[in-house]
Amino acid sequence: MTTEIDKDIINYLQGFCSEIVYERDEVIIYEGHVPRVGFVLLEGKLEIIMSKTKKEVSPNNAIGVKELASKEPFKYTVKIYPNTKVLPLDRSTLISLSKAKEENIRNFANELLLSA
Amino acid sequence: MSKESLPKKCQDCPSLMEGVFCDLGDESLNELSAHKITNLYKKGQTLFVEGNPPFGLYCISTGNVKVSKLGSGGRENIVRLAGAGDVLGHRSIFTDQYYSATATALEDTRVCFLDKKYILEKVGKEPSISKHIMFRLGRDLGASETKIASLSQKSVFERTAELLLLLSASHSEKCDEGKKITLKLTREEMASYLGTSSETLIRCLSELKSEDVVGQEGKNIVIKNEEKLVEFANLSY
Repeated sequence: MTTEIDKDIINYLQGFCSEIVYERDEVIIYEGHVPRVGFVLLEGKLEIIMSKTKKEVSPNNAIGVKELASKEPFKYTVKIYPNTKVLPLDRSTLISLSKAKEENIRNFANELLLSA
Repeated sequence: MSKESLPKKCQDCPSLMEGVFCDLGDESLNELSAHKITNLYKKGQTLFVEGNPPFGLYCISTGNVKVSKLGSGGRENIVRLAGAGDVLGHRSIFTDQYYSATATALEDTRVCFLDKKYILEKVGKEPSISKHIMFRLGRDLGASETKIASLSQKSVFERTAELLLLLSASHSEKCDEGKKITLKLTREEMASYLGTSSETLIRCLSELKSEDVVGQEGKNIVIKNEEKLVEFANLSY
């Protein structure tokens, strides 16, 4: 469901991607959809909704990234709440990361892309 | 519609020739097909929400989307209707601003998504995409100006007639009585688009029905007398 990300990789991603803060709540991934973008949660609230249960995502976890890489539909709905800060990872960014100079970054991206 | 039945290639999209990628060759379309994310949005699902950051371009393959802004008191105001071949989210990408409106599917709508980085690169390499996006920006700006003028200069009755003509041109099919509007908008949504209350809209529709200019076939509005409707809309062109 979620992927825990190493602090080193998060630090790299913060320099590579722009952090964004959501101003309004939004369903960012609908069940059955392929995510348009994966998200690394930095702070705030991301909620996974499965049937009637809800589960919160912890900071420094990524959601939707594997499904984005593999183009597989997500099995749950994900909602983001106001004032939540995330790092968005789109497909182009994953491809760029797979060519990074740093081995750990390349491995991180390639593991996701090659699992597709 | 199951995911398996969603066309995988851009070349197979029923709206290709209405879209911004219509001038691209096979090689470019194949590249697009590999990069895009296609999803089926059910009625009521949002593509993006006003005030949130843009991630890329949305290309409507089939279906219809309402673009709306939230007013004071949480009241929705529909500013635009988008259909097959239209793109959404492009203004936010090019102006680097957060979304200025919310896009919601009005029915089952198939939408392809291309991320911001990719589309900006593509626009740089393929001038025809820019040309088509500029065409749409120009068209939409013109429509917005017309709407602003109508809001200040026309009565609700005239604006109702104008909206029905717009829907007749974009979302209708011939029927025995005239033209049946195929886009199913609730009275609240129509009122929201016109900037009026549902009660006032219903009064205007009743008046049009009593003049035998429009009728009803089930839940669909039928335009029986388009000439008269044009007269009522008080078009300046």
